[in-house]
Amino acid sequence: MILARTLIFGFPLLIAAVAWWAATESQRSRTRHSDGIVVMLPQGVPTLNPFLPATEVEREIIDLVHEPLFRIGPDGALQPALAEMWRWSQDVTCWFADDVTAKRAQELLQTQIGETNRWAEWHLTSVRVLENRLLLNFSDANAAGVQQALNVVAALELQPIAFWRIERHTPLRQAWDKFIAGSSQARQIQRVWFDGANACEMVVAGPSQRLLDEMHRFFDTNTNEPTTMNPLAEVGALSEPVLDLDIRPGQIWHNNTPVTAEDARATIEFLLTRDWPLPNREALRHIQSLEVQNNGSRLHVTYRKRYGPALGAFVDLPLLPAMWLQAHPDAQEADFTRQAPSGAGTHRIAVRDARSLILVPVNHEKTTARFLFNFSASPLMTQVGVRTRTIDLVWPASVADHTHLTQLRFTPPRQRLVVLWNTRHDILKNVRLREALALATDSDDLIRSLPGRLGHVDASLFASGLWFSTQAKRSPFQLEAAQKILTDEGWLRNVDGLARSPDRTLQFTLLVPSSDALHAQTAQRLIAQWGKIGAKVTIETVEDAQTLAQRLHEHHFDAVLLDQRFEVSWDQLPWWHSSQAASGGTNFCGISDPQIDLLLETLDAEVEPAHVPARVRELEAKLLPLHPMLTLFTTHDEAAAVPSLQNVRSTAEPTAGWTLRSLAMPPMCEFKAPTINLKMRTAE
Amino acid sequence: MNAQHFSTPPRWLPLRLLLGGVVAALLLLLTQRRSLSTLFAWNVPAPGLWVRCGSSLTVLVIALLLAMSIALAAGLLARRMEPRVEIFTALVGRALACLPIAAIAWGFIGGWIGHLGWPVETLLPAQLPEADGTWQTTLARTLWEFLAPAAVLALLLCGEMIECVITDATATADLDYSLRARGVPQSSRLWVHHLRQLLPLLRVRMQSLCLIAPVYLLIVEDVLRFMGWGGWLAQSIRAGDVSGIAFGFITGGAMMALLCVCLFVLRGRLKSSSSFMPALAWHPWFLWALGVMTLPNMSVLCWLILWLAVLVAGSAAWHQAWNSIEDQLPIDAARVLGASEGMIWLKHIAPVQFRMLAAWICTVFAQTLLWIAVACAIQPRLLEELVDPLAQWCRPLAIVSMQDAAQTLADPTALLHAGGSIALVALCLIQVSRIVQPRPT
Repeated sequence: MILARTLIFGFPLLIAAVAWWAATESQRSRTRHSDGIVVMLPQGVPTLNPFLPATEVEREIIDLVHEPLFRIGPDGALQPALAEMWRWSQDVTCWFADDVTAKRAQELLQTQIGETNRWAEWHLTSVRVLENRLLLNFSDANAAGVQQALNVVAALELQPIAFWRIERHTPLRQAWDKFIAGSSQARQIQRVWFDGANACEMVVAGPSQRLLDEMHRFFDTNTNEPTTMNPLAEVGALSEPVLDLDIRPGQIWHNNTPVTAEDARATIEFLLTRDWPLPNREALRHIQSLEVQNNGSRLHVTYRKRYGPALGAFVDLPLLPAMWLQAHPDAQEADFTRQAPSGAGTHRIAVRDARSLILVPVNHEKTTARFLFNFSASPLMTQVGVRTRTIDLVWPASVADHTHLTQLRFTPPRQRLVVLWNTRHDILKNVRLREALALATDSDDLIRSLPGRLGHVDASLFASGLWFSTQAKRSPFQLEAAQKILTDEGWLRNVDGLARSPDRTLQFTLLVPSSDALHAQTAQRLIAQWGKIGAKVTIETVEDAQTLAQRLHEHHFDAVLLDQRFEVSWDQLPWWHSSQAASGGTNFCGISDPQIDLLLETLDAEVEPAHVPARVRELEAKLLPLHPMLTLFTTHDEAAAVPSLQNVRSTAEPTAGWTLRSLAMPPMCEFKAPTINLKMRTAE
Repeated sequence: MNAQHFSTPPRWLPLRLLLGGVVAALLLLLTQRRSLSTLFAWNVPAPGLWVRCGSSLTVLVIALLLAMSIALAAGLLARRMEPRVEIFTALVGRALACLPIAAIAWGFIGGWIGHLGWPVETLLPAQLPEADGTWQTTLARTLWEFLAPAAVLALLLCGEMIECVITDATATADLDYSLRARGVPQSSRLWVHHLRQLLPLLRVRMQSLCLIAPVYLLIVEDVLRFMGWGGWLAQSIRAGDVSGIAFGFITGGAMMALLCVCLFVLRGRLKSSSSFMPALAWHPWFLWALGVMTLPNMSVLCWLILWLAVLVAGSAAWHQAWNSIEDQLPIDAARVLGASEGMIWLKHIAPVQFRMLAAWICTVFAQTLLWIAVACAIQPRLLEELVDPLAQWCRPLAIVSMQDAAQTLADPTALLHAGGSIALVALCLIQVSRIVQPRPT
């Protein structure tokens, strides 16, 4: 009897007690992960190609795993990462008839050191002879002493240096390599720079006619379309800007091998062979050659022309180990997935499977958080995680239950939506009219009524977080002021409410890419807003990016709604310079102003980041009053975080920007005004 | 109230269940024009299926033991009190047994996770490996992983068992007066003598539960994402994977056979039946019906299949009940007194048969309703075959997508309303059935 009763009553009680203990212990263990952050993501496992992040979260994971040479800090300033220092200089090369003449030239220049030391005056740091070449290095990229130094050796019969552009309708590279291997004249070619697959530019030292004849014979055999060879310029010495990047000592990859300049060289050469849409790719295009110096601690980058924002190409550009790149010369998506390259970032990949990714800090610091990313997370699993407080972040926030995840976090903006005006248009060429349209645009209304997380923007040409952004104020919404401008300009409202001048109606079309729903909705809202001042705007959609590009290059539009991707580059010359305003150029708006051209050229040539803000201010002071474009809003990713998640800044302003990096490494103090933290190397 | 009414099981029940599963699987493959070699191929439809079967068996054993012990405790304590408490306890058990299992499982998730914020191991997203993980944590998580589905399943089985313990008590010989006359104390009368009488009957009831508990387990494991046999078979059913379903019949039959063998440890046995009816009825007809009716080419016949399963599964119990009543009808006495056959049928047989028929209809309706709820929870596509208001009732129980699941977790009200409505209707029908059903004196 006792046994029966014990069994009957004891078993349920025992199970209940065990279940209670197990449940409490399980809950306690699940909610005490203070050193880690669990992220739920509905998307599948990303490829983690460091150069082609498909989503914002992939970009931020890459940012934790891979380290660039430079990065933009939270304060918007350039910060050193794998590169410790940088230095701009200038290499000048002269060719002489023979070695003896070259040596004489060297001796002549050495005599200039003398008592007055003209080398210092010219910023000349070294003079070397290499066969019949004289190599001069100037510490200042803007050195005016180049010409003075060349004047000293000018009497020694410098060989002429000619720039030629070679073009054909078929790929050139293979044929070129064959020609170089087999031609006796090829040694005259000192530099080659390929511009796409079918064209290249070369630098020839000495008389080039025989070389050109031989090239013609070689390239035009068995073809009906002759190769065109056009001279571009002829000079006495070849001047090339040089950027030296010193790799920070002691940096190691996650596989414990040291990071060297060879890794940087291999990465950049790998990228030069890819047509991936990298940010600031234009700067990479100007690279003439890459050389590793100082026992692998310095990358010596030679450019074919002076390009100020060249440094921007290395900002936030992840480096990969040269060993990995050698093992995967044609790296595809699968290579990044199956054999992910080592990074040099703060976190390394500890576990990666079909549904999750664990990142652990490399330095095992207690202040640095671990990350677990749960991919392909179902809404149910996300809800369960939220309710049981076993997750910290839900990304995007739209899949989260906002009653439990009240803290919203916005990522930094990567692009903004703008309206570009065609200033050649009969109506839109009037600056006052463009100003009126800007005043009639209510961006607050757009941000309120459109889906997604949108942020306010300023009128500056650049991303607001960067150190050189002026954060120029955007025209505030003033409907009455807009109407007054129209009235002053002779646009009066008729009985239909449309603004009319004596000979025409205020009417134009807005070109909108049809693939994006946000664009379409924005266009609809803009039409409604501009309709309030009597503008009759019709939407014209374009099906694909190619058609859109063609329409823009042909200036076949009135106004166009475009995404402007933010890049770390202050080069604005292609978009506003009058040389690009002709058909086929990239100055879509058609702005043509000599003063603006001058400012653009100055900005384009500026190599010192600290001087850029002043130049940008000068440019914007001239350009923005012309209202060439109307900035609307930035788009952000939005994540929902548990309230207990530490180190999260205010969520009120999306442009504040928030990243996984800021979660992983809490800032020690508040950021002050943007400053350039990068140290410039002084002349040696 | 899905367990069949009391009927003595056939001889060699475990063997019959095992063979029945194999035969059902073969028939399914043949009717679906699939090669029999799929069954004998060693690459079974799911990798790790044997581990899954082991996990499910563990959950089933815990749930059945829990249900039996709680039911015995509740039933015997109620018997110790006054009869009205006993009646009320039986009603509570009956009501509990009428709850759709999907509503119980989702209600548990809604309350445990959604309201209390406590974890269910199998539903939680992956977590960072514990830097300071201890064996206690690992043990606790493992235990809770098994105990959560076992507790959910036990709740429903408990309702069935409470009703059985109290109902079966009336079928035992009442030794109360004789034992009292011999001075046997009340606790001994209850916990020794009564329990000893009850155990053989309970073993039959437990065997009966062994046939339907795995079907409930399909839903529990599917809802809780438990890596067991049930979760796998539910996915196979939903995907219309014929070979998977056939393999599920075999493994299900084997598990049921194993559980029935384990029940031989209980003391006391009833004499096994050797007639045809129990041999036919004592098979997992509901499992087979759910497997077959959810196949795409069976959608027209789906509810007919379910209804036939209800009829066949209950046939032995109803046949046995009728036989025992018929034995007590005063037919011979009426003949002796000169009543004609027509008069005998009209006066003595027809009223009882009419009451039996009414009770049978009510019970079949209630059971069909509950099995419809089970079927819709496993295969939401079957909702399209239902007509309103039945479709309206069952719709919240059919969680089609992860969005539905997340919505149910956030707000399980609709699901609980649906489950409650179905349970209430089924309970009312069962009660009517009990009222009108004639009982042997």
